[in-house]
Amino acid sequence: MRVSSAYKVQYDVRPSKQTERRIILDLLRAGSDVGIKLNRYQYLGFGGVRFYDFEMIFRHLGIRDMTSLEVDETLVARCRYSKPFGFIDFHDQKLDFYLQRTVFKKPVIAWLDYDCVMDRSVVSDMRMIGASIPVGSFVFVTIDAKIPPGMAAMLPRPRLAAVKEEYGEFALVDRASELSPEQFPIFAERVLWASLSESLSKRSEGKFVPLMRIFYKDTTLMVTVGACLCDSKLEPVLRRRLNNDFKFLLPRADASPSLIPSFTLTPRERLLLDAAVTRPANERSLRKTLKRLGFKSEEITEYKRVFRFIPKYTESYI
Amino acid sequence: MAELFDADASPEKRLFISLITRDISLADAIIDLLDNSVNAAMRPIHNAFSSASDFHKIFAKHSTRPNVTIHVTFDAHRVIVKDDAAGIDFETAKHEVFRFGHSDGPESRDRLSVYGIGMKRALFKIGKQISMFSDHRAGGFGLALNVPKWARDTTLPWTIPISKRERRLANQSTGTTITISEIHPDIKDRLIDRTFETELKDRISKVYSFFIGRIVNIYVNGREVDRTDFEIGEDNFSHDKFKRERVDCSILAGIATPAEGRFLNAGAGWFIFCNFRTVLYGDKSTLTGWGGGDLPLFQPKHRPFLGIVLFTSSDPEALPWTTTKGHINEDSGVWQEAKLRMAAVGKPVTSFLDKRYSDDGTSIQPSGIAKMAGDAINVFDAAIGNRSTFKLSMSRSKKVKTTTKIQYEITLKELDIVRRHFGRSNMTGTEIGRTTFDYFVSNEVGDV
Repeated sequence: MRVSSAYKVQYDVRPSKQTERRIILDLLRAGSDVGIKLNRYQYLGFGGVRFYDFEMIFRHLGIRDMTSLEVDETLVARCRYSKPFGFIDFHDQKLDFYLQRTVFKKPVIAWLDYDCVMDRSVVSDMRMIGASIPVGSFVFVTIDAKIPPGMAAMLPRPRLAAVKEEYGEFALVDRASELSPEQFPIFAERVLWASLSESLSKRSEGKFVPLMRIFYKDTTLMVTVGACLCDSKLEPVLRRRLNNDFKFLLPRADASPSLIPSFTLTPRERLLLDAAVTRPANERSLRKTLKRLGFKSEEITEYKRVFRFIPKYTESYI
Repeated sequence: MAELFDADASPEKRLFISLITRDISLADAIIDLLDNSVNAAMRPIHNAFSSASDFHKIFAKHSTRPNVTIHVTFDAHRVIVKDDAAGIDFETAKHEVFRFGHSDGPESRDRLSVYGIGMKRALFKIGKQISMFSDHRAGGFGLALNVPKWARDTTLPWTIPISKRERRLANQSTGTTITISEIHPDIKDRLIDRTFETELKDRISKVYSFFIGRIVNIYVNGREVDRTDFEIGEDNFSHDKFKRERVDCSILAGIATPAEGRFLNAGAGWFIFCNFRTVLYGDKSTLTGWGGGDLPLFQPKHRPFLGIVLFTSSDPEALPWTTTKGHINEDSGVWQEAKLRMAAVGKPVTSFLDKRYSDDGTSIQPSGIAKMAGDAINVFDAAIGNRSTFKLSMSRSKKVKTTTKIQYEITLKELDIVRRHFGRSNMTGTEIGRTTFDYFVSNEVGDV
């Protein structure tokens, strides 16, 4: 039985995913800027057969202590064959199994990029990793935000009962209407964030610092949350830096996270937008052109916020 | 600005007594009195008790003969608690012992005295007439108190009359004796209940499992109370520890040592200690994470599970126990952090136990599990080691199952309808189950 998204998704061209990766990289760089020695960290992830995140983390942050986990037994041989660096430690294990047998010797950057929908096992993983990671560690978690199909087929009341049974104290929902297929992603994010933030904020050695809560969509709606168990001395500096440069990655108060917009742009439009959002505001001619093309001012503002993370693709042969 | 007046907010003794005695059991009340004696036994060395390793130093001297003996005797008419510790001096009695609440800073407190209310609460809980005397090298004190009469006295501030007792010479005995008589009717019924003595001894054995035979010997109605020892497989336990403000916490989980070849329900679960006094004994509830999502619902197959949490602090008030010392203050930050880590420490053990027992009831014999867990080591020894992970895995036992069976009941009428649907009147239940399952996977789940 094949379950991995590796069989379903062509990973090479997923602009929103790549935007998300670049955001995570920039967040980590912000940590580096305030004095966190990231090259001495361990990276823990689900590299799949492509190991994109591993490539990025090694090339940009210089981390060599890397661990990749894979649970799909049909992919194990391909993962071992395809891992790009000899120093990647590969295990065909579930995360909880790995964590149960690991005492981390150094801080970790963990990106738990699940390709499954939300369930209680993800909450348990959050609590396990929250209890295990050393001070200074970063945790990012990505899940498919859509409602599980079997749950979507249920009537609202039984669905609410099923959710309450599944998530226990993390069933952060009052009404069945909050679990409709349209609303479920907001619930899933709320649970994911609560389980991560609750476990990290209980740790006394470090300070919990929220990093990101965002939705993004290429083929399906995904959500990523991230946080740091920061050294107490660095916490104010890191918070300040995040507040200055990455405020848009966290929702205000009780609001839901925002969606990284998926821009479908022609190369010329992209050049025009790049120019418009980087020139002084009083140069209105470019914005007028954009409006003539149908771009709304909110879209331009959104683009300005994330444009440096949006990839540019070219065709090449290796 | 409007003129301010002083409204009467003075305490009322009868209400106060009723409030503080309502939520404590008789056994806990007697144990509160024992706490005073154990504290007295520890007082000469109490500065040495700050961290788990300090306690361990005492533990390492477990062959040392305890210096203090405590006798609890009771019948329908009186309860007596008597120890031969160093006693309470007159000045301490005058200024500290009978205050409701500590006046001093945390550093000078006894290690088992949290709020300075336990002894008074226990006295009021049990009876109306209290006699107490203590002999001390610096001069002790005596007390004779009629509680109803004292409760009727509305004079402020509250005081309790005590008398001086002579200094004791080096060759004279010291110690404290408390006698409570005019027992309350409900308490009298409990005291004459034959099961109460057994219950009390069992509780004392568990609550003072660290102290008995090391710091004190305890007798109930003349019979010595044995301590309960906790042992865990030496090479195979997971261990985590942390320090939060003034509290050290050490968490272990592994395979217990079987008693007479069996893993008993009473010896399984989480055991929580605050300054090595047992607060929770073999807890298997959601309080400690069982059945709450982090750990599975406790089942008989989990009986080999032994989890130990040791909280230690030189400030007892910082520990996560309630005023009765018989329960956990769930809102305490150090407890919340411990609970998070307990799940991570305990899960490898429950996962191991879950995998060793399959759905069809096949099991490995207890002796097999104990053998795999390795030689037994006392948990107090294990608690001072470094962080470690649980090492037992299925690779050392039977092969991991990758399949399971699904069973459910249907009516014969439904079975017949499905057989007709397929046009196969001899189709077996197994075939129908497989076919319908495949249909669901194919049409509802999709590409798996």
